[in-house]
Amino acid sequence: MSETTSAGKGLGITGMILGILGLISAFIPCLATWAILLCVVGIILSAISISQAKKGNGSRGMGKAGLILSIIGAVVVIIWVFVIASVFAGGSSLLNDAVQSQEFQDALKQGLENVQELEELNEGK
Amino acid sequence: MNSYRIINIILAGVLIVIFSYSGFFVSYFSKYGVSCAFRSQTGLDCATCGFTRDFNIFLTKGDFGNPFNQFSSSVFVFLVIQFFLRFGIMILNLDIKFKQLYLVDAIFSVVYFLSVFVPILLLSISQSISLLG
Repeated sequence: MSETTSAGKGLGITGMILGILGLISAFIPCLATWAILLCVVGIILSAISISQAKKGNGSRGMGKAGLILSIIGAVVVIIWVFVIASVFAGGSSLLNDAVQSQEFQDALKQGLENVQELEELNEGK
Repeated sequence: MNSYRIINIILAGVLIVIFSYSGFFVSYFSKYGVSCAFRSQTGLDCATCGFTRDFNIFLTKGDFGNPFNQFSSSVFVFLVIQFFLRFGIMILNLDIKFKQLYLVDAIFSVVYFLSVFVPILLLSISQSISLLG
């Protein structure tokens, strides 16, 4: 049986660290934008580490762990993106409904009439 | 140096940076550095808004009484425990004899992490659903 080498070890450790930090950041909405960056770099480095370890007969455990953590972190961030996007979409449709409602239209008409009256009064002075 | 020790050294360093930033450096700036995408888009506080302010108060005044955020004390305790774990493992240099330690550490950290952070995730999702009406 051949001995394992240190091929891909450094990148594996880096990928694992980025995966841990990315996963923790992914659960904090304030840091979600940082988390996606950490997770994407973590996925890339872990994948390179696994391929290097495969070529150089190194240990692949660290790279695999980093890859799994980074992917989970990225999935959590993607959920955030969908949640925030749906809040936005919901907010804009509520705004559209409000603008198109009869009450809003009446209030707007009344406001414009008031402005016109004020302008006429000012011109009369 | 084995990989486990290197990871513990780096994570202990990251935790020192987090504590130094929220405890000491943040007081030099009038506004708190970490901007929140949720708050900037909706105008409402997210489930983790106020962590930096609370960490600053915990570290500088030791006052755990009236936090801005209901989750900040549990997250702070989690980070402090993790710091002592990482620092302890780094100092003691527990090596190959303690291979089971990796597994115990991983299981403990993952379970503790989920118990602290899953309620934050659930609250955030319920906040968003209530915003959707």
